Amino acid sequence: MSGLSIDLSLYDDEEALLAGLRRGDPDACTCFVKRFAPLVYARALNLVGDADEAENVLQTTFIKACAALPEYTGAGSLRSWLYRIASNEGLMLLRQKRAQLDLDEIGDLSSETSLSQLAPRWAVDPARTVLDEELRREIMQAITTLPDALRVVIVLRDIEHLSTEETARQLGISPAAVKVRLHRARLRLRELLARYVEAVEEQRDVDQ
Amino acid sequence: MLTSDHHSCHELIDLLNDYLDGELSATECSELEEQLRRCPDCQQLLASLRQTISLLHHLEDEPLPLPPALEERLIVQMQQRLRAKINDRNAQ
Repeated sequence: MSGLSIDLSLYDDEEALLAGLRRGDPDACTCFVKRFAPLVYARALNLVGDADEAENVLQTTFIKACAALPEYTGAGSLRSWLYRIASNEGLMLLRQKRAQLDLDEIGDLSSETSLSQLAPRWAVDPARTVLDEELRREIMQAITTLPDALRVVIVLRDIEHLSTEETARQLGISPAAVKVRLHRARLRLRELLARYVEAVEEQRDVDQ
Repeated sequence: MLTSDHHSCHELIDLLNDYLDGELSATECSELEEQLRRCPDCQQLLASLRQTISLLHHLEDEPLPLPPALEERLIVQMQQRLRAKINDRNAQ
């Protein structure tokens, strides 16, 4: 087997990478996995909310990609293509597990919408717009704690940037239901992140 | 239709995401903005929601390192599958 530690710039160009994969070059496989698997793994984990399931989605995605490589036309980027396969696989897995991604799962938000609870005082330092490792981990953790029905909507809308209508089609629900779920998901995520931001601020106050 | 008294904060909260997503009409936008001007809590909520969404956008292409064993397994699987595919093709 070709070494797993290789120069990743070897296949910087996507067309060359595709050609390498099609002729079965082991180094092309290594580059392909090293470059794209961490992106697909992150997307899968955000979507399904569980590390083991994300691993399954990742493996299936790469198996399907392998099988489809000869027919892949190269329209769009390899990354988007893999994301699309992973999204479909992730949603299928969730559907199989929970017969339906039901709105009931999202629970009652009435107790969460009081202004006092939504209260306000949090803001991530704007200098942290580029995610540091800790903040990234915290957001991903917060996403995994959302119920499936909310998590998939926020991933499709706010991470994959699908429109309300596209998200509704993917999930087989109405655009109005997408909006309700997105609203609830963002509020809940905001609340989860607020705890982290406040804890960090308190720690800073103690340190000073 | 938005009302401008403080009790309508709940109504406003329900519209904040549509506002952030650009899905309100021009009239609804101005009414909401008018109400926001009078309610610091709602302003803060809007700001933090906006920031939450912006943080999510940063996850778009954020890689997550694979457990080393998983990466190795994937590479080996891919190499074997592609080789098998090529062998099949050559055999035909």
